[in-house]
Amino acid sequence: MRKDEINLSSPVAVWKSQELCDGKVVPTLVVILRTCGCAWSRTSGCTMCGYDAESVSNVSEEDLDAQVARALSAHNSEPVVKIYTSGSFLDLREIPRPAEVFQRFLDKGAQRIVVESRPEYVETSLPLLEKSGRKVEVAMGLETASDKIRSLSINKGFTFGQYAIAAKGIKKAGARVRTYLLLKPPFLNERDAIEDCSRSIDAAAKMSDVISINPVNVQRGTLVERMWKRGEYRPPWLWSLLEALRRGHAAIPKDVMLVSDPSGGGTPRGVHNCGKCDGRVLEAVKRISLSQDAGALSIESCACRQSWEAMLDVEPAAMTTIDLARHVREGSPDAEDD
Amino acid sequence: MLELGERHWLAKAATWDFGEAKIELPNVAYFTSPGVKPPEYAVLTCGPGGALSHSGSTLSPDGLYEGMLPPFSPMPLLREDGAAIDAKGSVCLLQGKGWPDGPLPDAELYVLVNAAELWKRPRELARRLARFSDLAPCESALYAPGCATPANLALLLYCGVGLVDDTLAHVAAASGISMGHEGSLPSEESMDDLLAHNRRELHSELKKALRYMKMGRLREYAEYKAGAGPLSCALLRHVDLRHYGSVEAHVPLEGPKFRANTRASLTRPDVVRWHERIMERYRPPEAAKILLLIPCSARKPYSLSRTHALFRSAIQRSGAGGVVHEVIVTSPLGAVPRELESFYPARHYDIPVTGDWDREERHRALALVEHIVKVGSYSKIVMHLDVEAEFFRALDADASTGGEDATSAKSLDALAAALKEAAKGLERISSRQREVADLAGLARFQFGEAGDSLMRDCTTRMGRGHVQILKGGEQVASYREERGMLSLAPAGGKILAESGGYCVKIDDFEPKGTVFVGGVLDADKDIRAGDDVAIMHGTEVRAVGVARMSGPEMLRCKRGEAVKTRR
Repeated sequence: MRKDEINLSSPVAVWKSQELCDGKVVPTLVVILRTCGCAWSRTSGCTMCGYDAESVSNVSEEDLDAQVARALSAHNSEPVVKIYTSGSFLDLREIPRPAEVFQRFLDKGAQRIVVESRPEYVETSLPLLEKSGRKVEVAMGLETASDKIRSLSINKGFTFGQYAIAAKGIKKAGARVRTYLLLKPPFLNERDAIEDCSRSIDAAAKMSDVISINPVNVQRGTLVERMWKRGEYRPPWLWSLLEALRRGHAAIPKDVMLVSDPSGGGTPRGVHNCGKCDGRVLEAVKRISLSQDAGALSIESCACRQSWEAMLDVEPAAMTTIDLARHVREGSPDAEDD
Repeated sequence: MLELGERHWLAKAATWDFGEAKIELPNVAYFTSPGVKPPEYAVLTCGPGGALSHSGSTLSPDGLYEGMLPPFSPMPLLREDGAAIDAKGSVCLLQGKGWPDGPLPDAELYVLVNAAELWKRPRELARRLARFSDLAPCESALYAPGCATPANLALLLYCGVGLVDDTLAHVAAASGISMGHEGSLPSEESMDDLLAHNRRELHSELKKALRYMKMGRLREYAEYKAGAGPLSCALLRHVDLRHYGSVEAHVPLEGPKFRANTRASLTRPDVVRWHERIMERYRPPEAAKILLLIPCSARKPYSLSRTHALFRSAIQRSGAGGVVHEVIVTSPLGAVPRELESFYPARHYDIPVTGDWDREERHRALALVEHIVKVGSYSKIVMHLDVEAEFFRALDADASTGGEDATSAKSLDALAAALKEAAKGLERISSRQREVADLAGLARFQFGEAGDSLMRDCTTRMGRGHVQILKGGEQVASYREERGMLSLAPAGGKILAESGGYCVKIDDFEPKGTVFVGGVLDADKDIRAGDDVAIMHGTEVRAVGVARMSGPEMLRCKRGEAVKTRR
């Protein structure tokens, strides 16, 4: 769709899903509002994020009101409502009157509202969060606990310290904290990706009510996409996601939820295995996310697990993070792709 | 400690003291882990259970992802806790944008981090390999992990890589791929069988490449292997076209016979050096007033061939011998003046002869001949060519006598008649005078301007199997056809020293037998292995000899023979 054809009075997307809320699996409404988008993506941007494609500069307050109204009309008393933008909900340039949006959904019976924001917009939003209390959950994309990886692999533009201050502020205001972690940022091999994710789960657990692992999916117009097209990036294996979930559940306190709802799972651009076992592994990921029962992880293996294990071993010795399997598969080992 | 052995251009044989073991390089490090045993022929292992171990991601995007958002700053190892590389020798990781431009820290083994990423960027890989050969200590080796296959190993060795690993053999095995010397094929075999097969292929390819290296013909083999894939082909081309200087410095002035069968043969550094010397150094003998262009022969030197014997007898019949300058047009050398026909590589190349010249070959031959015409003092040009006559038309020759068949009696008669006609009114030159003039051309080709000083006012005398070159009764050099170039006598060394070329300055000792690099204080940067040089202390020439390495290497190497003195 061309940008001038976009209907500014419609949200980017509205869909229904499920969510574990206070120990129960409940229906969820997910709304993506079209806003002027992420300020960081306009000045610099993250290596894996292509969401700025969904943003337009000329969204008026009236347009936003109309989008919210449409989302509200889709709300059918789902207890959990996720209101996302392709940036930060708490950035007043994107959502000038966040309190009003909260109120309209709370009035329709929402019991929990999840929004996303970069940490820099949290401080000015604390009075708003204090007012809404436990009904609001703020999700922040920490991505990794390592400042080095966040800076060099992701170009996220904030530190763990800044995230931690924001998280403490949110909790102090009485709201909930959700932390996103990125599984396999570029320039990490598979083994380090798992290792980085596990360490990050440990660090984020101290700050969060919910930790959500987002395996990288290859989005358009990103550095990650260019690397992927050149055969220099492979999205994480589903086995790696399972491994990160397994290690995380063993390590973190019971009152912290650890979930994953991968986008593009089982496709070449998303977290994937060999293609034969992807469905059942994704099913296992969903099961554990909704049950928080690590026992749900035990799953029938697949021949590709041996390949995954071999890659975990060989990649560090090969001192590369290119997609080695694709490299050797492409006819002759040195045939050039695209 | 890393002890250098035989070298072939950028490729070096070496013995590396690695912990308790002595590792012969070039070699393959076999990936080993608790679950994966090394093959029985492995002498070096890598990986978590191996001798060369490394843990963690290593990508340094800087320099590799230029122009891609967002801007990166130099990125060291991502893994903060893991040891970069755990090896029992002195090891240096080459990574980041900075390394190809700065000086290298001293080490024995340099690790080309992200070699797999670089393999996909042949232009950048070529640049880094060339920089490495410019900057690295002689007594060191380059380890390129994650990129070797049976198809590209010989090329990697040719480009100066001394150590690779078998990690791609593992990846291929895990991906159901059987590796072969020319490429890879999908296979139904089990992962274990494939791994054993892929490793064996890599091992046998290493042995084969080493054999070619020993013969001094690795270039030829690498050219052949470059056909295995577009990236291989591109790498060789980038190295040839963009880094000629970095490679040429390591190419000796002599070598074995070779086949110039591929398009890449045109850009062999020893071939390009020939072109450059013709263009920059060479002057035709002044006495030669008639330029005669003739085709090459398969037999080398050309003058031993039947066809050239026929040409020469026609020249003799014409009576113009002293003023005729024969220039042989050929590929890939372009043009070979008769007096240089034994100079490497004129006597050493072999080409498929079909009479087909591609545009590049024609262009090159024509450019060289045009240059020779420009710097010569010819009054007439005669062509006695076959198919080549066509593309030398631009020379506007006075006669073209090759006809349908340059060796037919009719053509040869026409040649003799044309030369006789062209020589009318020209001063006769004795064959002795002409020999001196020819050797002067060779001296200039060999020594540049210093060669002019060497040959000024010289005379010649036939010795046993060689020509002695005398100045004021004293021998300055000699010429032996098997060597194809001048061998200096001490008096000649003095003349070279006075004109400042081809000199090696040594400490205060009497050079006898071998001069080692430890004794070398300075060396002319034009010197190549195989060159005749003057060995001086201060302003005093103490000996003459044959260089065993290039001038720049004499200054860079810590050990090794710099010059073998001539008795």
